[in-house]
Amino acid sequence: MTLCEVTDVTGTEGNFTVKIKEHPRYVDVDKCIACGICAEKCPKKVEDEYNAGTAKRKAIYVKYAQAVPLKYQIDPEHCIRLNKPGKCGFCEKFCPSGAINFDDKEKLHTINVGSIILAPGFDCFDPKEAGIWGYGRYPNVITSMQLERYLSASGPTEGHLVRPSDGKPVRKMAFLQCVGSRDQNRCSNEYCSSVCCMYAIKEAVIAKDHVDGLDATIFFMDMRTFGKDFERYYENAKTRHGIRFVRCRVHGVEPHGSDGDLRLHYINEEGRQIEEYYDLVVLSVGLETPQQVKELAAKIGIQLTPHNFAATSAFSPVLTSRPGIFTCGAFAGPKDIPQSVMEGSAAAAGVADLLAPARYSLTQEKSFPPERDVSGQEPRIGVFVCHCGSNIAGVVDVEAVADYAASLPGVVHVERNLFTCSQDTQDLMKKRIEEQGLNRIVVAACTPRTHEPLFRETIKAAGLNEYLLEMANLRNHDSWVHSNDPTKATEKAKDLVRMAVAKVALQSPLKAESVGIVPVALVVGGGIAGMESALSLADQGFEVHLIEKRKYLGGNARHLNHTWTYEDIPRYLDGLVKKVTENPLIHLYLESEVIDAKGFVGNFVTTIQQGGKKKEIKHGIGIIATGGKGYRPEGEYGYGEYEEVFTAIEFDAVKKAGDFRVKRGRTFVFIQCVGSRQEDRLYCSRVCCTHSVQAAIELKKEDPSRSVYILYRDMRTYGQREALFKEARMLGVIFINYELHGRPKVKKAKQGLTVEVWDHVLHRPLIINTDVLVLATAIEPNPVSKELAKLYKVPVDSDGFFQEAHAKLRPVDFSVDGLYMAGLAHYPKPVEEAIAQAKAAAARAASILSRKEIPLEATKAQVVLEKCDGCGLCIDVCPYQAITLLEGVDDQGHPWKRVEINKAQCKGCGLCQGTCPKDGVYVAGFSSQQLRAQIEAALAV
Amino acid sequence: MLERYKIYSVFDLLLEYYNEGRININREIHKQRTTYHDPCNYGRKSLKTFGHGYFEEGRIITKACAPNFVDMEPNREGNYCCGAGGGAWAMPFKTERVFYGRIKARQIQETGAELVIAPCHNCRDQIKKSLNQEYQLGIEVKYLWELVADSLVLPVKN
Amino acid sequence: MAGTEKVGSVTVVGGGVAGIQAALDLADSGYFVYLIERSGAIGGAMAQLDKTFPTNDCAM
Repeated sequence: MTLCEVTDVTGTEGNFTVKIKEHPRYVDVDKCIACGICAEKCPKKVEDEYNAGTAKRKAIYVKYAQAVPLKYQIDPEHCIRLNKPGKCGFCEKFCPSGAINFDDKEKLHTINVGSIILAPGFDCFDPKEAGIWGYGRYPNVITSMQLERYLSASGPTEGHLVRPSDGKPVRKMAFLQCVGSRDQNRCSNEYCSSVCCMYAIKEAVIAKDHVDGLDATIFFMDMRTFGKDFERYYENAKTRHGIRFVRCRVHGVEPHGSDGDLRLHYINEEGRQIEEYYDLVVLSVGLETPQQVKELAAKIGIQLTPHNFAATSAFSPVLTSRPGIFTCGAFAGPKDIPQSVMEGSAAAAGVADLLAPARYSLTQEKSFPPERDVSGQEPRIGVFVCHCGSNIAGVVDVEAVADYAASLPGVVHVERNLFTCSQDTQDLMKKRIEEQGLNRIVVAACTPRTHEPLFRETIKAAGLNEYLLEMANLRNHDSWVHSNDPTKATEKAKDLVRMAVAKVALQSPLKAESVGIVPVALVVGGGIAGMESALSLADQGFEVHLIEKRKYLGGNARHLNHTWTYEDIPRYLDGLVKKVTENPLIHLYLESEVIDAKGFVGNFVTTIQQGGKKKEIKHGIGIIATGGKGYRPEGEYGYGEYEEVFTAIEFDAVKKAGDFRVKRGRTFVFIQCVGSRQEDRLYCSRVCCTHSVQAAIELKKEDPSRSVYILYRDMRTYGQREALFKEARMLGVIFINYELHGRPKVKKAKQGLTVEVWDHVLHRPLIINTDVLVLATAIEPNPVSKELAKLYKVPVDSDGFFQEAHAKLRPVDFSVDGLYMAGLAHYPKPVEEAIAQAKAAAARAASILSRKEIPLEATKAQVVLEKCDGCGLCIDVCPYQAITLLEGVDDQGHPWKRVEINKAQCKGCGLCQGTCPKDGVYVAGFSSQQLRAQIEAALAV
Repeated sequence: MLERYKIYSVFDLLLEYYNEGRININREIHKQRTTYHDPCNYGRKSLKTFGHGYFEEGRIITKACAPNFVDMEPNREGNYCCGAGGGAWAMPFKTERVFYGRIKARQIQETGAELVIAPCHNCRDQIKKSLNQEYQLGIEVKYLWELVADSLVLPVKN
Repeated sequence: MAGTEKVGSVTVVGGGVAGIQAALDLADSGYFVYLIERSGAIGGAMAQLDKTFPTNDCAM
């Protein structure tokens, strides 16, 4: 429901009444075919919000070319006709489907739902108010969002990086970090926006791709690349891409001359004053909660943090202060895309927990007419050639192509459409299929990647098997790439149609199979992530088997005392363990290990060993939450040698126990990044900066006369944790920056130790005489991960952490369907993020477990029994391990061999078909016969 | 005592006189390009300490007397210090003081102004007596009240 | 007080990447979802981005 706003929420969890205001679109979505003629004719230009103010759109517009829904809308503030009745109205006059409706009114809706998820996102900080950066005054100072639009091929400059002032190419650009974040002076956003360091590096790398020899510099205070693979990207940006990083907060931007050049005046890390000139300065703007979201939150009783983000508990990170209302994404605190996606799934899990009894109560199945049997019939092919507005017709002579199609063998009906994808053409296609008895369809239009599902559904609704369809891509493969030669393009279009006709003529109806699902889950690992996901699934009504190697549950969390929000972990942990052990749906196996695994989504069989006894567990999905372990820095910084040196976890324990070394300690030194962010472990362990800062605060609060030092490379107290960093500084904790080439040196002293470090402000070595030295050590993956990875055939990355299917969009899925990951096993993270990821894994798993069966695509490999002799060449090439060899002896005692395809694991890639020397296996819908016919058609003149 | 007497700055006074029409300004006298220097104390410091920085008042008056006005970049709260504050004008560290003032000198040069209005006596001295010579700026420097005084249309004696 | 029976539908407020993911997971699990979006199209801020790390996929 677009153009809608929530105005009120009443009720309680399980039963809410939501009032929604729908703003008028002034365009009928059932009629609009997004042809764009209205926008062409509209005379009113307006600043384009989508392009972040770098371009203009019309008063009637579509947000962007790939918008969903792809329907136009009229901006009532700027439309001439809506403000002055009787004037203009050109769009209405020219719209080919009569979709314009100036009488559209605001509608109010009231809906009744069981739960609500708030995911209203963020607004970029607007740097105009703080004039010091010259934004809004000097045209070559832009925000990062504007840079994204400039770099984008669909943006105002089609990806050419030029100066906004004069269009000249950009040769030197600078990024200023923390604009609108970590700043109580120019704005009131004291928190860290978490994403800007990373996006600035990404934009710099992309900009360098666009412009040869581009000089890019990033000015930062702390480089916060704490996510998975981010540290490596940062290193590559420095070494491979040559991006310059300068640790300095530049105070402002000045114009240099009157041509639009910009001047930055700053002090570099050596204390020298430097002046540099740039073509373009990009302000890395922070994320903030939009004003109307703050108002809505106040109205419906959602508590916000002092920074105006949704207040949540670390132990229920997606639940707001109002029961039954969940949240996810940037509203719950500034975060990047993988975190937002994880939280989206976690919120879904939260809702599913709550509404489990009501599952499937309001969903509807789509119904289709019975399929017409076309076996034995001669092909009666219908060809629909699309003009695609002028996208195809502007280059290709569509009429000639249609005439040609009519001459092809098997074709009994040809039709030309302006927009084959429009709703009315779907109705037309259905009519034609029925009246003409068409039994094969060719749609000569655009790409099947976006439109095949639409046409499949159309012919299915007309009673035809949905696979009796072939598309010829006259747009992406023809008009878009051969726009300079219409004659040849038209010939190619004819070739493409001829090939499609040849292939579809030999197409048989295909039946999609489905596999049944065992509605049971298996969770490997009984730490917080494992327990939370097990509980979430159990709360949703599924049976769960939880496997834990040790004698007790809790994993690494047993070493922790509190979250960054100072919430009590041991108490939470005890409560969690109790819930797990008492839950009737959770089968707990302590002191057990996984020793074998096989199967595929919906049908896994895992063998575990407990006390020498083996047990086979059948399950539909698996969640791997095997956790991590702390790095022991033997031999580094005196660890293991001097008794005053501890790891962070050891220090916590020792302090809690009241050890006199800590109690009477006067000076404490923390060294960050021990073991992390270096060659053998090129990743950031994410939690250590926050942990050390909290430990330092506690030490200072106990006794303010203590001297506490934190030696860091970059302080990574990201998001709202930034407040802790400030508090530590206010309490007098001294932060000293060190670089990899000048690591602190630790020696034994008469009393305690000396730590020598080069002070980055004083520019001289500092020797600190300390009573205690705490090393913030790296988090490593559990060594068992590699073994488990082999058993389940899942990938592990170069650092030993499990590799997810897609870093951004599928952060809890493995590329093997039905397997998910959560917690430290995926990457170091704090407790609240482990819980969110665990819930996300549970939600993803539930979306499979809640079904009785999974329908599979029909385009899977098929064995031709008469031709396959079991040579097994295809088995080796299959990337999905979907082929197995079957052997047996027939009734006459003759041995036989052949292969069998696991349809659930097969993805229809066709490698087997390409490898088989006997035509013994083929991908349904792409038989060798069909492909040969297509090739012959292509070569025919 | 504070309640008996009205205490305010010369900015407020001049602006009051101007707005109430108690003074008349001849705009033909100062036709050269003029710029305005924001003193630290009246500007940034006043903003931080009292919540009000005198940025606009001086500009309104200056523009009223010298219509050919151009702002320095950056200006107002972000404007650069003249370099002679905190006692630097009176102290013997001349080389340092002149070095600090180089950025102010460049700012003035970049405006192309011939007349600089410096409302603070310290800034005015630095700019008029030091920066103008050391950096050969070739400018005239006036106090804000001086600009107004020089622009006054005197009432006709009866 | 309205019925204590739980309603099997959900409102997701916001059509950005987090909202879309939540809506998809819920719909796949058997709940009817109302996805409410303030602007004319879903996609949120991510749709404005050019390419995303690490695969340099277009953000669309």
